[in-house]
Amino acid sequence: MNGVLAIARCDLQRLLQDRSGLIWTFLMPVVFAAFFGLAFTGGSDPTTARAYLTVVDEDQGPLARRLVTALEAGQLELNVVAPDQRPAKPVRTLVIPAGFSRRVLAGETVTLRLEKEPETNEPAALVAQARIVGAIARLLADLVAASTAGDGTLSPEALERLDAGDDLVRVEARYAGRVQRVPSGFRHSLPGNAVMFVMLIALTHGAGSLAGERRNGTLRRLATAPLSRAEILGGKLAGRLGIALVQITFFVLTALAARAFFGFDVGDDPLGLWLVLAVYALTVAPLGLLFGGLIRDPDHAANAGALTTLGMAGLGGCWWPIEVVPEAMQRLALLLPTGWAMRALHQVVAFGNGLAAAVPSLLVLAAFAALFAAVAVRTLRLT
Amino acid sequence: MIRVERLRKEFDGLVAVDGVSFTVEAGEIFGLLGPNGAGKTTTLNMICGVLKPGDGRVLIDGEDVWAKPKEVKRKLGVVPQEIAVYDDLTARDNLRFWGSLHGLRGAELKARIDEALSRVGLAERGDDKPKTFSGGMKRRLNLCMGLLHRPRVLLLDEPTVGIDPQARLNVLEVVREIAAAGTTVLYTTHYMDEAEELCDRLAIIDHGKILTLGTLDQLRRLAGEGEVLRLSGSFDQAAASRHLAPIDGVKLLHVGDGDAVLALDPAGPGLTAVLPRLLDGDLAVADVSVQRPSLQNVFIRLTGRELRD
Repeated sequence: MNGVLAIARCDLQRLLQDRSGLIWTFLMPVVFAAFFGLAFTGGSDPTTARAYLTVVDEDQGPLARRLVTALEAGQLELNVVAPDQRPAKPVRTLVIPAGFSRRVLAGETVTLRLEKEPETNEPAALVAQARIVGAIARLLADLVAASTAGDGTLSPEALERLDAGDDLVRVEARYAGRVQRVPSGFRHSLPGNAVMFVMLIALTHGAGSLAGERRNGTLRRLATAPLSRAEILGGKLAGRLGIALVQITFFVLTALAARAFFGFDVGDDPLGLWLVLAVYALTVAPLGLLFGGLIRDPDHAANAGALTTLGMAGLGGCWWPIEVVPEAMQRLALLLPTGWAMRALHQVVAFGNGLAAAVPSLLVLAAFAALFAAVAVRTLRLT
Repeated sequence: MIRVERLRKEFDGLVAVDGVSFTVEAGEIFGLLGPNGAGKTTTLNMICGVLKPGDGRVLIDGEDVWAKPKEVKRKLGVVPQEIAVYDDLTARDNLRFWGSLHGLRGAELKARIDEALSRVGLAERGDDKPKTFSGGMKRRLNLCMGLLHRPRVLLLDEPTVGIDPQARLNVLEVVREIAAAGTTVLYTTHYMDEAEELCDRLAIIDHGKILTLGTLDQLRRLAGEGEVLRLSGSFDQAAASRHLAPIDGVKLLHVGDGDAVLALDPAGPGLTAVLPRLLDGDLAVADVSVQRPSLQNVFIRLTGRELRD
């Protein structure tokens, strides 16, 4: 066991001596996660998405104000303007026509007009429409309540009296059916970059350094030490796992610091994030060993590792949410450890479903780990 | 201390080591001398338990290397032909790592590192990384790593390849000291002068087989008192055989197109009498060299070619 730990410690020590290795292990994952997290904040999940809405109030009457108040209660970035302040290119605009309050109180039918730019964000448009319908329903409910209270006269004063008491009617808008939730912002960039960079280091530094050791004879020298082959392979595996765990720990701690200092939305379960990544590290550590064992030239091993990582990251959903790609691509992701790791991390980080929801994916990752370890142990030659 | 019995190893049908047997006594420096590709490193790899023999066995201090690998490896120090050190760790960190694999810890490990670095003249450079070292310094560190745990048996595989004369002298001096302290040394080399200078006994190996084995004096006697002549020119093999074979006092060791090696019988007519007859006739000899009795001669007598070939 001491030999295993000594080999693992030596591998970790060698990584810490390598400046470019340090940059790619610790700095770049954070930079990438921060950049893409900030660039794609705002997301496309209709249950959480916020929509921009400009309200042009041509009426300026009491009912228009009530409608605006109802709109303000929803998930809307509201911009209420007078007719002469109308912005040049609003994303979507609700026009409350002049005479709206008077005509409604008089019992006339009034049309509200929603103008929107083509090709606007679909989930956001759904949010805006749902909130507008909800606000109109709220206003109608108030009108019904006001008309049935007091002397039965529908007037602005009757509506104000209504505000003094409890709500008689509650209007709630919810999504029904199968809502497709798509992780975005930090809740996607954080897992995506963690998964990619943990694999990148295991498959480039991990594979390249092992191939280098075989080339310069240190691996053969290890075989002359009083250690069994299992201890040597265990040490090499533990070294790669140790490096991944240090990398993951640094990444999660940095995410927590970003949440504390900058308010970044990095999910509510950092321990769950760490645990899922730790199981994933068990999968990629033997993969690094396998690459280093199969490819004799250190540069070729590192290059093959980098290309494999990029391919697996893209196909596994690290670069973009897997939910936005065609179904065939989503099925392809399930052939890859990156796909299962992202699946598990979405449960924990993006959807907040807890570690229990990620267990099936973690079991698949464990099966990948066993497969890779078995092949690596069979193929690795010390001399 | 080392007993090698009928070792054999094939790689894809090619026989690399073919029935090699020898013993090395405790405290002895035993040389395995042969050209590149003779099977020295393969033999050494089987002795140190890195390569499983196809046949035969190796006993170290009475224990079979493959039956009790850990126990045997604790007694072994191996200095490979490659400079097997981590360039990105300091010399001390390299030694600390290798020492820890042999169970050394704490103050004892530190003391051993200091001692080993001093022994090879690297005490001042212990905190530097080998990538800043010269080739000779790297070789000395490579040696140092095999000595750290004070092995009872030291296996050195061509430890002086590619280094300057001064570094080479240092390596040889350290090996002598180690042996004088009671360590058994198996030393492979293709440098005859090193083997002559260092080894108590020698085995000459070629094409995976031990050609001869004995003390330096025994081997020199095998070479005989006579000189060895090497001829080169633009003659063909048949013509050379026709002209050279009948000469009295000459033994034909090797004849090829354009080269021939002859051994002169010390009881024969001597070089001055033989030489005109060699050159008489239609043999276009361009160059003649004479070699005095040496290990080189032994090798030539046994194989018909020079060791450096």
